[in-house]
Amino acid sequence: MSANSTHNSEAAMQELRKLLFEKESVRLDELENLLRDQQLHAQEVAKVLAEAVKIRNLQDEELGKSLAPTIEKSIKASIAKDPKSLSDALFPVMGPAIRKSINNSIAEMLQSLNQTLENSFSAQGLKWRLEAFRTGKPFAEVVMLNTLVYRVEQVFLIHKETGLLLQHLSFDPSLDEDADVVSSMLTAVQDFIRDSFSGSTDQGIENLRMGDLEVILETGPDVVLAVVCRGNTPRAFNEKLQTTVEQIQQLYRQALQAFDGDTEPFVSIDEHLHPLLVSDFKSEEKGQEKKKSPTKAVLVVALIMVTMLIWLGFEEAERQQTQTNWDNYISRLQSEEGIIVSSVQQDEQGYTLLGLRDPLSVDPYSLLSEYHIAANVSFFMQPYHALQEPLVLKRIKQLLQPPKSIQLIMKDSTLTIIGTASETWLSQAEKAALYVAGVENVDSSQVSVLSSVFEDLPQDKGIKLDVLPSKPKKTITRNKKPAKKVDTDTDILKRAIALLNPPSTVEMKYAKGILYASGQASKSWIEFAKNNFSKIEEIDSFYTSKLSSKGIK
Amino acid sequence: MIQKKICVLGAAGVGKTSLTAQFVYSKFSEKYLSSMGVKIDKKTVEVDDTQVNLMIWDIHGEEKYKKIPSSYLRGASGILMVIDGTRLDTVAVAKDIHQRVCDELGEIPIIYLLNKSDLGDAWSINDNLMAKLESANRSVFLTSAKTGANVEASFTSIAKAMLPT
Ligand SMILES: Nc1nc2c(ncn2[C@@H]2O[C@H](COP(=O)(O)OP(=O)(O)OP(=O)(O)O)[C@@H](O)[C@H]2O)c(=O)[nH]1
Ligand SMILES: [Mg+2]
Repeated sequence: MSANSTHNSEAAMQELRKLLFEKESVRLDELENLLRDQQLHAQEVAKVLAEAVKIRNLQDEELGKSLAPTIEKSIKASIAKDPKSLSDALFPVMGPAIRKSINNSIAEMLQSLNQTLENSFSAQGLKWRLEAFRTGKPFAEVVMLNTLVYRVEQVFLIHKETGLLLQHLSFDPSLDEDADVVSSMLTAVQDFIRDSFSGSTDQGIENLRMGDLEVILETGPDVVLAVVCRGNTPRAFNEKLQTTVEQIQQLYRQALQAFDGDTEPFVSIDEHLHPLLVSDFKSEEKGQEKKKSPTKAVLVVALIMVTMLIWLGFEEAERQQTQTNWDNYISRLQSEEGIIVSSVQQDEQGYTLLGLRDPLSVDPYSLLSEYHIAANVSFFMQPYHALQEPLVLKRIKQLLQPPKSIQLIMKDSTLTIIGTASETWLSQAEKAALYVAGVENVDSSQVSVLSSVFEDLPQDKGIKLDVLPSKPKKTITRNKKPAKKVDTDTDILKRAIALLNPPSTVEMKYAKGILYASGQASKSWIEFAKNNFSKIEEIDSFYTSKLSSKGIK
Repeated sequence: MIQKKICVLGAAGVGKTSLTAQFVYSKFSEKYLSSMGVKIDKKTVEVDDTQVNLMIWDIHGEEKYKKIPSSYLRGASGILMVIDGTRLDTVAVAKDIHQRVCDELGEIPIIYLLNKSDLGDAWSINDNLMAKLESANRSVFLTSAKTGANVEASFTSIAKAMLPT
């Protein structure tokens, strides 16, 4: 009974406890769990972690210090595991910092490759030569600075993974049609080269050159920006491309990674691409732009693909031989007159040779086969005029087209002309030769000038002396001081006035080969002047439209 | 406009280039010019009122020493796997490539084309093998680049398979 009642009272107590402390006991259980269960623990900490970090960071820097080693370790581990993911993530931040800072002057010259100096006798050519002399810059650099011409014709924004075209801009809307195919092709070519040459996945080619056209490729983690340019883009343009890619990466990262063929989300990328469609026509403004002269064979264009196949077959032994051949080839070039090799670069695609070349020197391209060089060689040779006398002589001959009866000797900056020639040829030759760089004096004292009998044959400026009778009736020997300077306009005018003796009612002017007369004069004087002005060799024409003979006997 | 990259794969000489030419230019030639590298063509097809611009990568045939480079496969949304119905050995090649595609690109639509169906005499795929291919849960088309049979249908079918349903 008592046992029973004890039991009962125990149960009653239980009941009572439950009634009184139910809530508390549940909470006690929870607390117990919380202390025991790691998982729940973590959940609790998670709730306050961010706040806690914030508060602690306001107090001191201990937290950062104690976390640093762990963070370092985990970054290292992450890089070791997959460098790409990290570099992709960092690209927008790091890109600007890792600007390729290749800053040698030769690289700058590259920009102006293929700019042939049209005509070194032009006023422009002489001006540049002067500028080079004045500023102490190499002539090539002056030419480069003066002739920079380029135009961006097309811009492709390509999704890197699929090769699909995201955006395309072009000068000429007819090019739009196949832009998507070109886009895919470019990726394929880029992939192919990458696969064939280097193991690393991020080393894309940067440009392809085909004649006047250059395709510059700028690659980001998710996009490739391809730009087709005519001419030579300035270095700053490449930087512009990099910045554009970085911006696009930053702004469109998510859309790019989720890209499923729908280009809709990228319509607004236009505004980033439009500024790339630029051009620079510096020399056209000055009326200099002519069709490129055929002598621009200076530049040998290398299409990378062609030599790739050759490249793949190389054996080590062959490589040795190739190296020797190459060295010999280079020293041969260096010993050639009119060729200056300033730098040789070698990369997966072959050799790139930078320097200067006189158009009249040996064609370095044709020498390749002589040295059994099969590698792909790109020549970026800036044209220049060498001052070595054999080349100067060659240039003079090209310019003066001397008749067979004439011998030309170039020594100590003096051009000596020996033989028999017409007055017209001789006077032109004397004048023109002085414009050739490297010629300081002209000595024509040993030339027998053909009589004016032949000279006055109508219109025959370009008489071929070798078809004239072998014994001219009369020859006169001309003894002339070396022609040192060309007369100024005022000198010529003075000579004209002395020759024509105009009446006081006539005013005369002279400029650029033209003699102008205005005012009043007798018919007979006008006639006389017209017949005689050409005795002064510098005067090509005589303008008389402002002359009148009214009221004069 | 939706763009999709597809690859035409298979052993050498099965008719990849011919099928593409038939589809894009409606042309066929008996002459065999073995492809090198990749040629890219495009054609727009309409699927359920959606224009899909197919960028078709016609890749050289897979051979022992001339494997298809991974870089060409990257980013493809669909595959046309071509078998030459007159050459049984091209089936095994297709299977190998199929495996590689799965490893590298994951699950993407793949359609089988049993090509040269016009060559009845030399046909060597029996019903048994045909049934096997079909039961492997792949779409299979009997095509002829020569007559054009089923060519349009297979390209449209891959376009459809690539669009979200
Ligand atoms: N009769 C017939 N001949 C075909 C057919 N398809 C292709 N051929 C012929 O098969 C040969 C090979 O065709 P291609 O299209 O070049 O084959 P491919 O797969 O592109 O070959 P590779 O590029 O070398 O891998 C050619 O001579 C074609 O004319 C077809 O459907 N019927
Ligand atoms: Mg083919």
